[in-house]
Amino acid sequence: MCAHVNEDRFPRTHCRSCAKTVEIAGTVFVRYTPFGEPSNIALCQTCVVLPRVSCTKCQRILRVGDGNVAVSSNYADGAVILCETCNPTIAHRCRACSTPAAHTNANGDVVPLPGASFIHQAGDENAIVGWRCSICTIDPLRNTGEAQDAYNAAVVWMTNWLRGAGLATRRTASGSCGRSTATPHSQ
Amino acid sequence: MTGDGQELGHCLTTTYSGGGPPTHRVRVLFYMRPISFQQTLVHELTHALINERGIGRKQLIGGFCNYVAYLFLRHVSDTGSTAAEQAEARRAIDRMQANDNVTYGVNFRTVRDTLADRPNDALTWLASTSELV
Repeated sequence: MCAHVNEDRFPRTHCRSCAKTVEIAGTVFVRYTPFGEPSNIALCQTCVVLPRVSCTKCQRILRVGDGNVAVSSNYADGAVILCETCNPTIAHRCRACSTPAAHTNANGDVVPLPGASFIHQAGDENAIVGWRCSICTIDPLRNTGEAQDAYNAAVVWMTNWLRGAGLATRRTASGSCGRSTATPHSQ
Repeated sequence: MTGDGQELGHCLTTTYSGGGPPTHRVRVLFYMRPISFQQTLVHELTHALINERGIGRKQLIGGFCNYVAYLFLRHVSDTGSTAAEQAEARRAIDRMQANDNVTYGVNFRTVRDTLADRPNDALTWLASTSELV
């Protein structure tokens, strides 16, 4: 009696996450993206229960467990993850750290990404002057008073660093006219 | 540091024809988290220090200022009061290390690799690069 089984007779596919060959009968097809193709991805019974990470903007599934199922860009330690379609469309980035903060949709409306915020001119919420990502939105320093502790800590560190280099000096200076050298810090 | 043209801080040094020490005016963007504020502040204070001492090769100065900010971030990542603060400093370091801008990324890494574990020699080294144009 022949024990050989012709495996080709069982319809098969590949798990999009772990790439194992699986029978279609045991495969779960998960909705991949709210738009476009492919609309579903195949996941095996093992991978289907793993945590998934989706594009912050379009919700397309990007990762299942530790496996990538689509190309993505990761910002701010996972706070914002975007697929390769959405990433180039992000026109508004956090001024403080360059993490994507908002996009302009097909209607021309500016849509903030989850947790992001914007700074506007006083009295006019439509006059946006800058964006902050979901991380930089939390507990920012809004004025010089709030910045005092952070300022003091940075100056203490720098003073100690200069002392370590044998260069610590302290002086006072004043003046009313002269030559100025602007040193912008573009980041 | 992305070098994408957005200004986070600014140092204005004024020198006086009649002699006397220069003065420095530092501005830092508001609505930033404390570590981002401090990172920018240290960068700008380093500009002030370099301007005052008149040292350094101009093309390396932006990278050097980022190097000093990097030393500060390393300090926070090692000694920050909370795990979250330490993690935030490490994220900021990661951004600096990944920055592909020539001034703020490539030159920063050049300075960092040159000085390696000799941060206390940094200013002496910068002075040795001469010609502040």
